[in-house]
This record gives sequence, structure tokens and C-alpha cells, in this order.
Amino acid sequence: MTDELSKPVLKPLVFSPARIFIIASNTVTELVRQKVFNVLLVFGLVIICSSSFWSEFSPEDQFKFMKDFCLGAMVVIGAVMSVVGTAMLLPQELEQRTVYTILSKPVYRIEFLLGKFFGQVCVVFAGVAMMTLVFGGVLYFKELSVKKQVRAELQRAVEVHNLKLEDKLVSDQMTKVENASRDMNLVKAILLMFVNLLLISAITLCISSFSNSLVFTVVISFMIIMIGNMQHIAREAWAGSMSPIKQVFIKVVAFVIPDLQKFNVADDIIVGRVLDWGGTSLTCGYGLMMTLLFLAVAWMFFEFREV
Amino acid sequence: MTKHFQPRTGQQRWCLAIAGLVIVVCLALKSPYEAKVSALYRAHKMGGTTFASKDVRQQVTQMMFVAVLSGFRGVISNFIWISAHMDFQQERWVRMKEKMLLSATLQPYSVQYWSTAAWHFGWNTSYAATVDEKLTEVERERNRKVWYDMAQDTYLKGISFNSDTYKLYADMGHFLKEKEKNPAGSAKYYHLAAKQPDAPLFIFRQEAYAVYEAGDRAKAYRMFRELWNNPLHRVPTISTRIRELETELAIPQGERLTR
Repeated sequence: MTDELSKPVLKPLVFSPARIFIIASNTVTELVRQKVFNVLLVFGLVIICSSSFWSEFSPEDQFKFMKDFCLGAMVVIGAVMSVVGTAMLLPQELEQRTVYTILSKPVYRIEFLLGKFFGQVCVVFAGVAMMTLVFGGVLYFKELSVKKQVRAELQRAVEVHNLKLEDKLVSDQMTKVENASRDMNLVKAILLMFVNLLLISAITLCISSFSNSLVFTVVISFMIIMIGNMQHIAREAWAGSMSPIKQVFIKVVAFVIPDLQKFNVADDIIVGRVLDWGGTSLTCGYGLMMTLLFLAVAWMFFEFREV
Repeated sequence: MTKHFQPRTGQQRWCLAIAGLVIVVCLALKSPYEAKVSALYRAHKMGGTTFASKDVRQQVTQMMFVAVLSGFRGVISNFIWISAHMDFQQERWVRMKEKMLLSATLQPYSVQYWSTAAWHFGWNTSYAATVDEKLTEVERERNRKVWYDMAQDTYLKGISFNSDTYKLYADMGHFLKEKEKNPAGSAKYYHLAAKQPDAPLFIFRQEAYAVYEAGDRAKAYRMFRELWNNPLHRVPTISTRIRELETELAIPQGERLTR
């Protein structure tokens, strides 16, 4: 009887979102302290350059250049933030030995991993949101300056030809500028870019879960990003005359690595193509499914890792 | 399974089961899902340049090609376009042509690129060819023709990618009318432009003007009268043309335009 009472009663540990939240918020604090947002200064530079130059081009060209350069910069900066930020998460915990303290507590490894991942995702989200706000703001001010420029040109033209400046002509030109500047479809491009960054973070976390070197993680992650972007080209190029070896190789690559080109719709949206919300959510679903896949692989590796 | 992956605890067994299940399901769904998204993009005419466009492969540098494939098609095409603009300013026409066509090929759904490139060939470079003092009269005429053909080819290539928008049809119509002095051909393209959902009002009148210039007076009269029935097209030029044609075609007094 006495023996039975002295035995500790072990309640099964329940998976807890609250623990994930705590780990995620600590991860955000750590990343912010490491000044990851400083990389956004590069974006500032790109946006200033792309909005200040090109006044000799047509308004449509000016807006196209600005959108292309800014969204391109957002992709690069976002990818760097995702890969480098995620690659640092686990090695840092191992190096500082904080991981031992955390994992010796009643915390599942998947909770630790998800906490780290969501913390990183919050930082990337904040970065993308800031870049989007700045981009939107600069686009608006650019629209105002282009409108002013177009109005002045019209005024000059009517003075030269001794005509009267008609309100309809001015309003038509202003509408043209507004159409070139304001495109709500860009929101879809940015949303898909964010899902892409989510997936990149998951890929990096997956590599980081078994790798011991930060450099290895970063390099391999960037290589996978490149392969992911180019695999459809390889499939297309080898479609006609594929040898059995190439066929097997490309099938393995296509089976394992996600097609990241699916998230790159900004180029087409900027030139006026429209992807509806149904299509956008379908692509988002693909990205989230792939993220889940890489998180599951990362969990498997991390669960069996000697920590 | 290696020794390293042998589950040692109940927790690890659960991990293997759940993660394994997620991995298997996701991998099984991956290819059909990708095929569905690809089909959707094809339906929306998204994706643009492919590896098959050897023009692109031959003209861009290795780094640019990698950038293009890595999702920076727009950025690279902008750089090339800006460089083409510099060539235009320095009157290096052939280089300008190559770069403009390359930019347009990189972003074939950019109507602006096709339109501006063809406009440069049809208006600027063709004119430059006609005033080139280093050439004989015959050579100038030949060069002008070459640039005119180039402009038409560019419009047609652009139309093949952007057949659902009015701009390039209208530009082609304008080019045929103003430069090739071919109002009948021009009418055909204005007709196609007017059929597009984004065609502005003035485009509907252009076909009638081109038919009038082509000399088919009876058809032009019918078209002008049809336009006049729509209050949105009641502009002074239409009424003037109708009155001219009524006299020319001897339309009976009772059938003539009353106002």
C-alpha cells in the first residue's frame, strides 16, 4: 500500500499550442535582437532608386519598372531572411546549450520545432508586411508625381498647338496613370510570395534538423530553391528525347522538390494577366501542403537526433 | 531503417507513424496538385517564356538566364529594355531591335513591350533609314521596307500572345493605314480590335473610317449610319462623313440623316 502511494502518478503530456506560442515569441525576440530587419534597408535603397529614375519612359513603363524591381527585391530579401533566419535557429540553440534545458522540460520536440518555425514565420511576415506598406506608399507618391508630370505635358502640348485643354482628355490620362499604378492583383502576387517564403523556411528547417553546420544548411537551402525554380524547365527541355536515366533523375527530383515557379506570378500580374482568388488559393494550398511535408520530415529527423 | 532511426521510445514510435503518414499523403498528392495548378496557369495564360524559346537562350548571358529561370524575368527584361532605350537614343538601331525583341520575348504578355518595339521599328527606325545619307536611294527604300516588315512581324507576334486585348490590333491597323497606306488591311485589324472586350469607343469608329478611305463608299455609309444609331458615337466627324456620302451615293432625301 505504502509502495503504491509513493509511486509518482505520470499524467500523459498533452500537445500544447500554448508552449508553441511561448517558444515562438522567444524566437521572435531573439531574431529581432539579431537585427534581421536591417536587411530591409536594402529594400529601401531599391525602392528609392526605382521610384526616382526612369522619368523619360512612359508612365506605364515607369510603373512596370518600379513594380518589377520592388517585387524582385522583396523576393530576394524575403528569401535571404527566410533561409538565414531559419538556418540559425537550431545551431544557435545547440551552441548556447539552451536546447538541452528546453527539451529536458515537458516539451515535445515537435512543439519546440513548431515554435521555432512559427517564430521565424512571424518575423518573415513582419518583414513582408513592412516592405508591402513601403511599396504601396511609394507607389502612391509615384502616382501623384506622374500625374503632375502628365498634366504638365498636356498643358505644354495644348499651348504649343494653341488649343483648349479639355477636362475629358485630362481625366482620361489620369485614369490611365491610375490603372497603371493601382493593381489590387499585386496583393495576390505578394500573398503567393509569402507562401513561397513559408515553404523556403520549412525546407531550411528540414535541412537544419539534421545538419551540424550553418554554412551547409544555407548553401543546400539555396540550392534547393534554385532546383525548385528550375525543375519545370528541365522537365520541359527533356520532355521530347529523354533517356531512361534522365527520366528517373527528373522524376526523383520532381517527386521530392516542390515546383517553386508556381509561386512566381508577379511577372505576369504586372503585365496585366489576372489570376482569380480561386487560383490563388489553390496555389496557396499547394504551398501549405509542401510546407507541411517538409515540417513532417524535419520533425522525423529532429525526433531521432541525439540532443 | 538505419540503427539511428530505430524508435527507442513510445514518443518516437508516434512520431514515425504521424510524420510518416503526413509525408506519404503529401507526396501522393504532390504531382496531381502540381498538374492542377499548371493547368490553371495555362488557362490564365501565365508562365510566359519557356526553355523552348531558343532566342532567349542565345541572347542572354549565363547569369541572366539563371536569373530569368529563378523568377526574375521581369527584372531582367526591364534592364534589357532600359539598355535598348539607350541604344535608341544613340541611334544604334540593330542593337535596339535585338534588345527590344528580347525583352518582349521574355515577357510575351506585356502588350506595352510589343507595341513600343513595333512603333520604334515602324516610325523611328524606318524614318532614320530614309534619311541615311550614306546610302543610295535604292538602299534607303529597301531598308525602310525591311523596318516596315519588322514592325508588322512584331505586331503579329505580339498579337499571337495577346489576342484578347485590343491594343496591338489597333496599333497594327494604325500602322497599315498611316505607313503602308493600306486602309483595307487596316479596316480588318480595327474590326478585330473592336471585337475585344477592352476596346475603347473610338476604336469602333476607326474601322468605318478605314473602309471609307479604302474606297468602299456603300459599306462605309452603312457603317457610319449604324454608328450614328448609337448615341455614344454621335460625333461631328461621323455626321460630316454621312452627309458627304449621302450626296456622293445619291441617297434618297427621305432616308437621309435628319439632323
